[in-house]
Amino acid sequence: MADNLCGPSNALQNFQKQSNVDRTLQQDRLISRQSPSQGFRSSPGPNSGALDPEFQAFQAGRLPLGSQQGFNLSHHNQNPQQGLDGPWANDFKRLQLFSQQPILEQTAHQSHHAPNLQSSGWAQDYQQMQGGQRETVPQQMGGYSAYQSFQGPSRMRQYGGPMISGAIASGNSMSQHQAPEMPQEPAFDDAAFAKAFEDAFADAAQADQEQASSQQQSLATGQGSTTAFSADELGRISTEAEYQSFFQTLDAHPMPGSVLGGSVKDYTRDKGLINQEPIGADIIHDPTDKTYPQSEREDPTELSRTAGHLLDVVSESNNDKFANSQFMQLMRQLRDREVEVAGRDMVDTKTGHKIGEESEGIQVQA
Amino acid sequence: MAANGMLEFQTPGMNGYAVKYSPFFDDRIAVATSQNFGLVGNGRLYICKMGMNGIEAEKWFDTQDALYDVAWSEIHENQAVVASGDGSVKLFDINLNEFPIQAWQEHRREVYSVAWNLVAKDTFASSSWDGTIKIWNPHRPASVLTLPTHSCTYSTAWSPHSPSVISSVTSDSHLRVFDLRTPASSSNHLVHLVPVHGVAPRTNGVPGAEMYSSQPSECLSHDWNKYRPETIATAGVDTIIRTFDLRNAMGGPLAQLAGHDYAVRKVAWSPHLSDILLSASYDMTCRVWSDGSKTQPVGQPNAMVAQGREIGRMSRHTEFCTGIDWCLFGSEGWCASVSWDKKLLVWDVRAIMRQ
Repeated sequence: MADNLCGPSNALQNFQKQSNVDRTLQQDRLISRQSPSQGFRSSPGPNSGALDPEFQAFQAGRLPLGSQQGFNLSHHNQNPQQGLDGPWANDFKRLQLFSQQPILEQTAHQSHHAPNLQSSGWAQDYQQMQGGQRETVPQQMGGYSAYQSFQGPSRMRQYGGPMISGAIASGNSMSQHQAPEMPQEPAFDDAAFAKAFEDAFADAAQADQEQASSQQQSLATGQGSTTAFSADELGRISTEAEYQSFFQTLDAHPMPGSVLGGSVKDYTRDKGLINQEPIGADIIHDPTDKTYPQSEREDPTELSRTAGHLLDVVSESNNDKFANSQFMQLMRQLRDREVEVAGRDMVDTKTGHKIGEESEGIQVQA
Repeated sequence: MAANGMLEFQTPGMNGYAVKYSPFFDDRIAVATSQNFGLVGNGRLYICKMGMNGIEAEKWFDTQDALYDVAWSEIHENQAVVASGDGSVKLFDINLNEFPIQAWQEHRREVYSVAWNLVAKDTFASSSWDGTIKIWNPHRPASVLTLPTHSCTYSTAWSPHSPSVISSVTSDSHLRVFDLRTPASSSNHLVHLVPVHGVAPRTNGVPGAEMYSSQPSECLSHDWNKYRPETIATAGVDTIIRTFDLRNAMGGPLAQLAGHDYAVRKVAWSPHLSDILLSASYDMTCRVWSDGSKTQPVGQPNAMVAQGREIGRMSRHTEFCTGIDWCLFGSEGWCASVSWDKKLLVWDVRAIMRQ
């Protein structure tokens, strides 16, 4: 109901807000803040060239960015100082790319993740930079999610389906290999995630079944169902992990267009009307609806019954007007079958004459 | 001329369903009527003129099926559109005879309401039991837009303050507000969906200020306040007239006006006073109400429900009162009402107000 107050909303708008988050501005601002020792903005930094060999190696595809082994090794490393002693790492730290706060966090982070292999040092440092910079990144996902957050959600959406699923699976294997002294962060427990996904899938499957039997039920249980992701739910997704889980569910359960309007009718109809039974005119059968049996559509006793019901309703009234009402008189005649509807007229069943005064000079053309 | 300065006009054989004052002439009134109380038979649109000799029928147009509502064109002083029981919407020109100048047959069931846009005067709307509101341009052969309500729609109305805001009340006990400026999406321009019967019981922390929701009941009529752009009055089968503030649509009614013995068929806000409205009811009375907004400022934190009250009652009709409308011209207070007693009455609200 909240979106009632804020005007109509659709899933795409909310997704756009997320995917349009521009992290490059933040980075540009920080990177362009050069060390005060440099005289000119355009001059190459003191470490220009120091990174080149690493970069070349990276370009040549030798770096294990996607390597499972590299991550596991880093997780098992218990000697934080070893990696930092390397000449390249020191250079890298002297770059002062980031403000003091991220550096501190990064250092703390490295106490768990410091690399011990020179060949993978650049990549590790890079990943940890990313990891330290973004506090929202779930740390147990390791470098992998940092890499994904660098790519940005929009790319994830484009290419990420199976890859992200894989990432979550590998996250699971990592958690199994974690050293016991690794601090547990229950909020991002991979096992809990996996379980939540399984639950969601189970719910979704169940909801699908229920939808087949009852549309209303499926909307009521729509919380965990992929077919009922509302705009609110899209708007809530803020962290990378949530993105991953969301898109994974999307990919796992392709929706028949329901998020973006495939079931327009259900969405608008049931927004505020869940569990409300139709009343009044809504339960009158459409006379043109051929799905109802002929007898029900043209039941001559129907009008009689309705008239009787109406008379019952007003029977308690002590208003003289009702006693003298022509309409109530007609209702009594209809109830007692003294008058019936024949074609387009009211006809007295005894005499067969039309009843009611003739309106003057009626000539029906229009 | 009837007693108490009341003008009367008989529509023999035809039971009144709706009445509308012309927005161009202070002496012209349109009345939509039907044979046999609208159950079966023909319909007739009367164009009445008030003169020295009382009310006379200037012209009438007969239709194949019952007529349930009428709306004057806001752009052409001689044209009016009617809502018909056969699902058709017809535009009549008073200067012509017998035939409508335009007829649209798109609704699948009875059309119960027509309303002309007061701002964008080249559009009007119709609502039907087929669960849709259709928006029309008199010059186009087909409807411009269809808004679904999925429920028998008894009444539709344009906001008098916006060319693109349209509302409806339906059999499912909900008030809907559509804003056509919003992008077409799965919500079909729907911006408010207000349960007229109330939401779940709640309190606002003030003792005695609990709001109780009642059972859903068919909502038959509604009208936009002419001075407070966010206020709508609704009325229906549960006999209670309610006013809602769209700025807090889900906050429940501003005022609840109880008093009618049976369902309320029509409500109309005064064009002159921001707190006065008229109602026509199946209890065969027409009543005048103040919604209490003058004495109790709207939006007071502790004022959950304003103390509206009935300030007058007109009981001359002898059958269900079905239509009522205010005169836009002259001294405030003149109005016209129609009933199934085949009478059009023109009367002054001030004459029946309690002192």
